Amino acid sequence: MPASPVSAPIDDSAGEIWRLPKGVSLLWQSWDEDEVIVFNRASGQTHLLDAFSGAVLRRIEASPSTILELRRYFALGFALDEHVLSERLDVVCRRFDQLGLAEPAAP
Amino acid sequence: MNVGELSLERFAGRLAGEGVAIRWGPFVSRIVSKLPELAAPLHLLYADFPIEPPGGICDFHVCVRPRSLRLPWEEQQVEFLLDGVRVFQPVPRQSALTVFEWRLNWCVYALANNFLIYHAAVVERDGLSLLLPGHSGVGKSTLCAGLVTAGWRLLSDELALLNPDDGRLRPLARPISLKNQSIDLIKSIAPDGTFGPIATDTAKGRVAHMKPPTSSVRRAGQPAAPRLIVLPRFRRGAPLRLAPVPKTKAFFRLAETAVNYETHGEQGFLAMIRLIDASDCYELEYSSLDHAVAAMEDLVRSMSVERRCRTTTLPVMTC
Repeated sequence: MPASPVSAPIDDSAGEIWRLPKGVSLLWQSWDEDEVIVFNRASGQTHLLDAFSGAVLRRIEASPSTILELRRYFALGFALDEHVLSERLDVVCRRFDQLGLAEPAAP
Repeated sequence: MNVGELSLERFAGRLAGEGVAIRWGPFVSRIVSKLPELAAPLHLLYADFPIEPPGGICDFHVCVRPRSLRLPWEEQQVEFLLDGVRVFQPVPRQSALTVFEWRLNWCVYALANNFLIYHAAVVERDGLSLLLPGHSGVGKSTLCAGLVTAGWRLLSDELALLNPDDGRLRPLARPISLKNQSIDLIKSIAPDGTFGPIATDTAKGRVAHMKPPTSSVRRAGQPAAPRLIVLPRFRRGAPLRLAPVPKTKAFFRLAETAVNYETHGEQGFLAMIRLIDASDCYELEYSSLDHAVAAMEDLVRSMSVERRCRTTTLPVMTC
């Protein structure tokens, strides 16, 4: 999924929990480490995600999380500055929201 | 009984009367037309196709007839009716056969949703079926005709029908549609081939049809398991290039050519995954048909050898 130049403010304290929307169920396919294909059973749409986006969505699917929790989870796997990582997570999650793959919910 | 077992006069008479129900692959079309310029090429190109007995169930009821209302200065036109309904604008009468073939394709595109349909040619050699997906103009029909002339089995030159239940391709061997320079090229390498009339001035330029091999039509009931996907691209003057394609890329390139992928939902996704999983995927760029055909033959030969080696090196089972 191409990253979009969104510059949303990062506010870990907001504590929104990212989760799959109700009724959404995903099928996964990956033939290599760089990309992953996701099929959304609810919308019937097929998405191509890069490795990072795929990992984030898998984490959200397995365990709904705040951006802070996601940042902690991925901090070891991706050698990125905390702020950069939070920003990337925020952009990716908001893109998931646009695509109907994830949504923020109040804690 | 096959079309060719009727004389042209009897065939034309039946076509103009109650119609002729011709089986092509999994479909039966009942065709009615009084146009002699349609009867003769149909009799020639569909000679090996079985005629179904009258009164049976037909998938498509097709009528091609002269346009009833016409101003005196307008050229003669024909209209195509599906199930008694005019679904398309009339076309020049000299394009009747070409448009008939295109409309039959449309019938499949629009109505055969029990299959996952790709805009692709399909051929087979030594039990390995090769899918050549691509939109109009990429050179797939030319390559398909070249391969068929070299002895490959034709499953389809235009529409690949994947059964999502068993993952196999259903043959749909029909006349191969050739356009513009491809007509002379294929005629030059297939001097014994049978070709229909050339329609000039169609929406795609000059179009002619090549009769499918008798053996391919006879095997129209035998599905094939996909094994190889090659994304072809003709580019004038380009050197031959055959390169593996990552499966993820192949998935989306193939999905672009699918007519009804989204209609099949989850079943379509899973069928696509199985199809890509089972297939080696390549891109082919070519300008020389001879070189492209040779490359496909080499590829299939190497895969056949690999398959035999794999079979002979299986570990011995012990109890």
